[in-house]
Amino acid sequence: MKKGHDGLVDEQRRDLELGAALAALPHPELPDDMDARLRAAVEVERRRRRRRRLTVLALAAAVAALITVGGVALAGSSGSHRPTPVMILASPLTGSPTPYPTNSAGQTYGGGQEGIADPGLQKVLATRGASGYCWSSDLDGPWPMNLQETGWLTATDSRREVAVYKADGATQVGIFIVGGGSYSYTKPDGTTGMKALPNRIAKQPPVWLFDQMKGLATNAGDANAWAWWTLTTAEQAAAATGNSSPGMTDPGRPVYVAFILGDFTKWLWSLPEGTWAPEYSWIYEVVDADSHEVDGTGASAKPFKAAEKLELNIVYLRERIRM
Amino acid sequence: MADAAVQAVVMAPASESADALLHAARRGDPGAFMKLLAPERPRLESLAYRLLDDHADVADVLQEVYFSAYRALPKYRGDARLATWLYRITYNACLRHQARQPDTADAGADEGRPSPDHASSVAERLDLAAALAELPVEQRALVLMIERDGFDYRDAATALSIPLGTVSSRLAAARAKLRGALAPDQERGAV
Repeated sequence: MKKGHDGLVDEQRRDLELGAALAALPHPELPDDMDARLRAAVEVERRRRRRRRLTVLALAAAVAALITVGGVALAGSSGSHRPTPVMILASPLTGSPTPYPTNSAGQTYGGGQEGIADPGLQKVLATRGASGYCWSSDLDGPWPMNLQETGWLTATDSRREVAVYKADGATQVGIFIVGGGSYSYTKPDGTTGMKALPNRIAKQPPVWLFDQMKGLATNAGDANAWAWWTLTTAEQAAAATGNSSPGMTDPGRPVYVAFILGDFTKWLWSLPEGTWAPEYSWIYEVVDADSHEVDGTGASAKPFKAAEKLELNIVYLRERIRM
Repeated sequence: MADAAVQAVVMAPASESADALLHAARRGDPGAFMKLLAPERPRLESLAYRLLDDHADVADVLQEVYFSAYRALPKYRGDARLATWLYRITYNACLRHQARQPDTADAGADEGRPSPDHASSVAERLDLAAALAELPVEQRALVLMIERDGFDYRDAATALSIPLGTVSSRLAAARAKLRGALAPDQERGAV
């Protein structure tokens, strides 16, 4: 009995020694600018959150404006003087001068540029290869009234034909199929590229997942990205991404996995300030379905081939309102 | 006046200050967030340092930890201690980072065996570091959390997402290996 007691005391003493020895291990030497780097990582997320808040406010303002205009129109219709019809356009919120050229009617046209409102006429490649312009409003479809309605942003359940015009916005040169054609975009170096639009039937992701994917794509350098996403298990996500965490304790845990395609030139939260990653085309994100906590992210220049085994839904992550 | 200002800061109750910081950080105040995490940072740095095979990656992983923590903080419900929650984020970030690395066979090589002329305490420390590096990553995190940082078993189970019983068994295995590294040479069978 006494021996057992001594043994316990000895064990406790050795635990204390072990704790003290572990505490005495040398502390990592980190870069001098570690504080600044950590602040930068926080700042990336703070900006994303701010953009999101501004988007919600802008949507609310748009709804309020529509209600006000509707009220004025109703009030006016009962009197002798009908008010001049007012059209609310998806105009730039910043009020900055447009960088796009304008046609004789004063309508802007060109390839959409990062960080500013789209032109009225957006450059596209028509179905038979003709270059032309679609009205942004035709491409966009109806204006969403709230965040839930940003389902508009997903490829719709059916392919939709949109007329393609010359820069005058009136002379039709072909058609453009939303959900099955291609669209133009401006690369960071100022040149224009074309991207194919997917044509698979899409399902709406949860709004929080959409926001996370959009934030990830934007922070990685391309807000005009596409994402393929699905709800699956941690085990299947690991197989699809090739990121099989050795600490995975619950392979059946539900997770969302998203594969995002774009021109990714930044990787802000994992690279030292001033350094740049290779130009990745693909990034993935695995998110716990319950906690919404990010389980893993990664990037690749090539598609994730193993992801083809999953039944993925497509969503277009383009910014609806540019800030 | 300056003294009075300092006095006011010193007099503020610590818990109230932490609550206020948490509240402000949840609202998105980056300064409050940095202050909130400041007391935990050395332990998080040390955890990442010990879990990652390539110590040059610690800075990158810490950035990811801060980014993830700031993003997830509004959803932090307080049902686990903030330190536990941060440990979990750091542990997961390290696992993700390790999984992205091609091969990590040379773990802990930069803190290898001591040369004979080192002082014994340094030698022990290096032995311990090497032994620690040889543990599976989950055991490494467990032993650091419990033996070094004083977390209880429940916190460790929460942080590492493992059952309470598993904490006991894995910790016992880890302790046995590390005690071997700390034991005098005679106990280890050396001449």
